[in-house]
Amino acid sequence: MSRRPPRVSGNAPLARSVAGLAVIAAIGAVAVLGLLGGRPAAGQSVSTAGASASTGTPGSSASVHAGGDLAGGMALYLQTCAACHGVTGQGVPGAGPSLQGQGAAGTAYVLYTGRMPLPENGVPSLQRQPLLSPSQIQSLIDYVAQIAPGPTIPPVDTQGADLAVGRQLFINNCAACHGADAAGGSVGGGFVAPSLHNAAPSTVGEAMVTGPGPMPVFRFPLRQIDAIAAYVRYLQTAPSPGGLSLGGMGPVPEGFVAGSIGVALLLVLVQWVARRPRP
Amino acid sequence: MSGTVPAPPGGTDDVLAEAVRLRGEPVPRAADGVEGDALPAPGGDLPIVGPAVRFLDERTGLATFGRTALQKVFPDHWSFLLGEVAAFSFVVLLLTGTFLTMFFRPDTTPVTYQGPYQPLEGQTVSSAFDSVMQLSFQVRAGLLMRQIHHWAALIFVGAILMHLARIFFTGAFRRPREVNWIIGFGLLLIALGEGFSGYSLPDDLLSGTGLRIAYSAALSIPFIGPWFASLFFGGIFPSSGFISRLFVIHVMLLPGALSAGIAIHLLIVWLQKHTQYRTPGATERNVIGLSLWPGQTFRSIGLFFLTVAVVTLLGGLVEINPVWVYGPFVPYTAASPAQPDYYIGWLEGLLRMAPGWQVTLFGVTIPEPFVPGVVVPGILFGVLWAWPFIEARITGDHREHNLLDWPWEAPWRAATGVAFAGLFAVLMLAGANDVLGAWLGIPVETLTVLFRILVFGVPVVAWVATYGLARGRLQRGAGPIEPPGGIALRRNASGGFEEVRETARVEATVGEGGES
Repeated sequence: MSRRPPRVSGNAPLARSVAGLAVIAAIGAVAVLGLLGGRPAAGQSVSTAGASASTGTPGSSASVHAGGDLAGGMALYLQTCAACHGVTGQGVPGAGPSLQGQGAAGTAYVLYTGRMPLPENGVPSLQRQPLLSPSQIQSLIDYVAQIAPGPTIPPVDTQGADLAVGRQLFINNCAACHGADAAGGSVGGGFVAPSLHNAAPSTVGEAMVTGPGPMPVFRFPLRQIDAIAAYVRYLQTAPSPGGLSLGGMGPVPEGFVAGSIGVALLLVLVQWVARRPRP
Repeated sequence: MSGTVPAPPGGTDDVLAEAVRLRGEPVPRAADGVEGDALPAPGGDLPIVGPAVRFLDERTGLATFGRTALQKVFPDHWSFLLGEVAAFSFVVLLLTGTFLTMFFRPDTTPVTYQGPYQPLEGQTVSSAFDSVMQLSFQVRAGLLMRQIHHWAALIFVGAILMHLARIFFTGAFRRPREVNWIIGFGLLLIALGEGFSGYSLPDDLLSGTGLRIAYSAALSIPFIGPWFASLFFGGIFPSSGFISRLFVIHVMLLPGALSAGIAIHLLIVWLQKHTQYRTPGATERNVIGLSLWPGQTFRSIGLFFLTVAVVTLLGGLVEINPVWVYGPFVPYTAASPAQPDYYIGWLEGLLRMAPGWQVTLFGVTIPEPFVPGVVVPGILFGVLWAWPFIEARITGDHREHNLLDWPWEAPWRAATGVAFAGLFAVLMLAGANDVLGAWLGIPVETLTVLFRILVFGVPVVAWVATYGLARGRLQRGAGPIEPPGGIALRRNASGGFEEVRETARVEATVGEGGES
């Protein structure tokens, strides 16, 4: 993975990826070998794990975590999450939903983007600065994957992904809600598809396999997830060849600029031109 | 045009009488060969120009016309320049459009994109879209031209709307100028069609989405809809032949109609002469202001360059319609946010806020888009189009008016105009409900309900408020109108000071408007 966008500070991306990939690797050689049909088991290095896993579909197999700070994760869970999501992740009526099916990916998504834990009760779950440290997040991911099995974190790797494929997949599957420029938009029911201009490739992958909120689950082959994440990344970093970008929101800001700058400026200039020197 | 001409005795009407009398007499022509006659050929002493002008004048009598033309008087108020901004934007559109036409291919044949834009590399796109991509990334200055063209289009319509507002609120459309209101409003409609067709030409995802909406609105017309849509679009959407039709409409029919319409519009202004505000010296029978040469000419040239500067700065600095982000049009997909350019936004708003009612009357189904997409726009524009006649009918005022009202002098009209503006503003915002919802964090559904209330509430409130304000202004009285030159102090012979009304500039430029 190359440069990460400046979305969140404080989580070490490489450590997170390595840890995430370690989880994948630790799902068990059996599962991986079964999927890949006799390929050598994924090693502990990032590239090998990413490359081998990229041919498979990230499953929703229960994460069997080997090692890690499960006890610490449990303590953190009871302290930070259990009040609303229940001691076993079954949810608390009126306070928080069940975590069933969230798995490592869903947990990573909400924790790394600061959507959870909420800074205070009753505020909406929006993208914020993460409250927990990367190591705390990692132990929580491990723990929640135990009590609420679900999709594993797809080892997204945007290096060498096909941008053209990614663009096409993005336009067909994502742009209706997130916008052609990934700037976000309303999707009805009071929901807003967030802007992806600060989304890390791994976040894109986690959101796709878990479908947070009203978003559907996109069970795409990892290669396609890579391509979509790469295209999102491209939109984040691509220069805007036409000059100042108006935020990728289409003709609405363009019309606003035409009126408030173009026409307004001309109204002033017209009065200036019509000025007559006083004798 | 220096302020040195003394006031004729008896005020402006004598000048008028003299001008009229002059017009009746046989005018000596330069062809009579009398040097230094009342009407010498312009440019007489200059080399080349002088003989050339003389040659023309001897055969056409151009000097007489030219002299009259150069003395045509233009009212001296900035609001009379708004139409010029529109005209100059149109010039920019013609120039940049000509450039774009050389590179654009109105053709939907699928081709493989092979250009510098990486995410589209190897993708199948229409030839039209491919040519727009080439224009944007490979043709030298192509993107600049595209962006200037697009910004100029937005400002063209904006300037037309400002011009229209001036005409409306000052009552300039009243007899004898109803015809020019109708032509001018027709020009606005053509400009909207020109804008929409240009928005649709690149064959990107956004333009295809817009065309589908237009196609659906055409389909929804009872009885004739399917035939009309099929005839106009050349088959069922998305028909392969439509881009070439649109191209002819955009670069030939509508620009031709606009050019001809603008010419007639100006010719009528010339024949009927300008209106003017009620300033000292202004009467129903004269026009006070700058003569065409040299005053208005340089003012207009300056304004032309300023208009070009604004649209060029926007085109060079601010990105507009990045078609590469939208990608080629694919019928089965759509991206958000999908809005038309702002001047079509109110139509989008009508479609978005209208309830999905579909009724069947006597076996005839009236499809849902028909009322918001065809009937309501037709009524709104119909009322505005026929406004001179509607107002004359209501007020019973069928007299000729060459002097303008100040907006508050006709509270009823001002209130109606502001109500219309408020209505269109609400509709335009309703067309952006998803963008506003995302920005403000308000659910789209809530916004839609809000807009359904506002679309009735805002015009009523705007009407009442404007009427009250205008009446208040009227009842307070305009007070003594400050003459345009202000008050001057003059020192008299006894050493004291006395106030004099500064009327020099009025006298200087009194004259009849240009003669036909």
